[in-house]
Amino acid sequence: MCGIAGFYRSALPPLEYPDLIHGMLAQIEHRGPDEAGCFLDDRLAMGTVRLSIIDLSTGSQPIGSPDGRYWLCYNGELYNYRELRDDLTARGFVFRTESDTEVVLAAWATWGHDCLPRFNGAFAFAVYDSVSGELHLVRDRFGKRPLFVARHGGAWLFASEMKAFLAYPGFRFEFDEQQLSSVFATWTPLPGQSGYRGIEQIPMGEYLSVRGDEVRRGRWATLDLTPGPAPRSEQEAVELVRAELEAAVDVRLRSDVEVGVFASGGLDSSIIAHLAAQRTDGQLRTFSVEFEDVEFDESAEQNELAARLGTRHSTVRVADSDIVEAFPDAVRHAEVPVFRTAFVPMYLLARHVRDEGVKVVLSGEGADEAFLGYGIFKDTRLLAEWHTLDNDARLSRLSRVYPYLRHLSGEDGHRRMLGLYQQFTEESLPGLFSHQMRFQNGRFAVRLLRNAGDPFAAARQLVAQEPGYAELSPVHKAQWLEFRTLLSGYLLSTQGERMTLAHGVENRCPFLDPAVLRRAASLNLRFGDPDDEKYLLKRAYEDVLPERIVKKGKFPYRAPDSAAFVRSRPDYRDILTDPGTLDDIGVLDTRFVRRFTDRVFEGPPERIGTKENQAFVLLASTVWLHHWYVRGLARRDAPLGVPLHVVDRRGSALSARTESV
Amino acid sequence: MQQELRSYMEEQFMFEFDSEITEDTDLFKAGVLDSFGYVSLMAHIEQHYGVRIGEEGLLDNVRVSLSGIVELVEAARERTAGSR
Repeated sequence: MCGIAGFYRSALPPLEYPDLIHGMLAQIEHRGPDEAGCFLDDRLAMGTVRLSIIDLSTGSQPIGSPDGRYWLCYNGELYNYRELRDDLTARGFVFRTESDTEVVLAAWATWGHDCLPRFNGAFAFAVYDSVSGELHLVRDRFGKRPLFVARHGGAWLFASEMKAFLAYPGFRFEFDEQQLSSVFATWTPLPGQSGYRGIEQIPMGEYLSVRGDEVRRGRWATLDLTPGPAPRSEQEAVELVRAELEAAVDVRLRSDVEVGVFASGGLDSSIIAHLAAQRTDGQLRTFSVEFEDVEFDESAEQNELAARLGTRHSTVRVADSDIVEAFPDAVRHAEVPVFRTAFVPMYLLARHVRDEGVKVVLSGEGADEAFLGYGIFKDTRLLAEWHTLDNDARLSRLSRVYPYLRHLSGEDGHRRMLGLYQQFTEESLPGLFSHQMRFQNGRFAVRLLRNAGDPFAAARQLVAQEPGYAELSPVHKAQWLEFRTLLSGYLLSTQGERMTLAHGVENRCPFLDPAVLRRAASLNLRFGDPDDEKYLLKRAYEDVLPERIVKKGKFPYRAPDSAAFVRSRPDYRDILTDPGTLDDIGVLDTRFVRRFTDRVFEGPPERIGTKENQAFVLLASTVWLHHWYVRGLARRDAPLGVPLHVVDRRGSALSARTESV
Repeated sequence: MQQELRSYMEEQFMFEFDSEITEDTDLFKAGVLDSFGYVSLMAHIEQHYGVRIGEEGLLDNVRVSLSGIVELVEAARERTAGSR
């Protein structure tokens, strides 16, 4: 895995490009500490910091096409690169390296944008046509790898992580209050959002091409949830699931370095660990987080899995104080506001994995989205069918939806929930029916902001502009929203690759193989009890996994939120309410922040519910983001730890070379 | 009852009734109430006012405002008294 950064059409003199690109790459060196390289000409500077995974010896970047026309800075892995390489070789392309990067470049040179649907991988890259002067910025179909773009003084800046922009002269971060309002209400930045003015993300499955003043944006991959033909029997369905997942794990084990597995103790990562263990020569390594707080701990399941599969298992034990102490650094890597602390233990786990000498891990991410594992999908079905059910049927369904949420459990609790659910049986936020209850709870955090505006305007616009969205079923709309918001905006990014790559560890997600998703779309809700989430996955692996893991039911991975701060660092109350800081941040409603913070630190813990926890973590992360980005203290002044390999095509360099000949 | 409920809500949900959030305001839409708060509020009403929520479509189409809830509880009490 790697990180890329660059700028295009800068008003600054090309003479300064080497120092500028060096500075930008130094900000993201954690993503790729093994090598660094850059390409320069008079219009563009772009570079890569590389984490060597495939073709360790010759896969260096930047890489140019044999005729010197195309140049590529690439962050990612192309899992089907061997197949594409064979295809391109048959067309006469002669490869100089064994790397997937060269395959991406050759595919681009051969097919242009049309190469993208052929790619099975996690990637974001910049490819430059030095003849036409056109720069293309591209992101993978699920948004697994990041790519941010900013405009500054006429220049286009781009980078895997926004912190690279801190090294560009005169660039300043400023919170975008409307985006913060949307993030606070809906939990995550929406696909194009960053949380800051003037910085956008290339949305998943899209590209941005710039040539002079001409800008083209396009989408190369849509999220197709249309079911294909149903298998004839449950047994056939089970076999299809197994075959697809085996293939997805096979290609993700392609690596020239050891591959481990994040094993949470849940069903999804246990399946991945089982498949990887079967395919690993020697002993597979598994890695887990253990919590001191038993409410969140799954070490019993993790240990049983490790024993069953015979893996070499190691853990990081996380206490309240560990979460609070690592929070500022983890937020620095997250770069965007965060609504729960569960990303921090992943930061600590990734550090442990790196210290153990492992650079690549597989995880179970994506299974809940692909195979409808979340309660929100059951909620959506129930709410959509509400008016066709009597109260007994509603109660029976309700009691199965969220058995793990204490405050909603129990006979009285479920009866009271009838009235609650009733509030959400009509679509009051157009297109967002499935997520109305979640977003409703997010309104509380919006009260932290001074001028929130309409927190749902951006989300409504997102679905209103999506071709074909209105025709989707309620569950498919919910699924689409999960892919486009929580998965890419938090799970794959803040809790995923931003934490692992903070320590130079690459994560891979077999459940997000396009073929697995297509298969899941054809199987979902066609077999078994629809309220028994991930029914087919359980059937497919119940014989090989510990029974307690298969029978446990959905147990969301979470960590202590506000309680961790209250219990271990009461001084955070002063940090979060410091008048100078709040004035400086500007966008927060100082009075409400004080009142809310007092409630969290003074009130009885049982009064602190989900919405308070989310608001608390959003507030704390915003305060730290202000420190790191708006005040600019995330900027690192140290140079790259490895030499910067420079491909210099600037006019000055060429003329100097000519003169010396 | 109205005054007690009003104080309970203001304290629990961290807001004050004013010109923006009135006794007729839908507390969901105002961002004051979430699902946890709603379930807590219903438990509070049941325990303090001797009514059971969620039976006979009690909350169907009731707006979750202070005035709406007061009306609901009063109607439920009358029904209970009438059935004695």
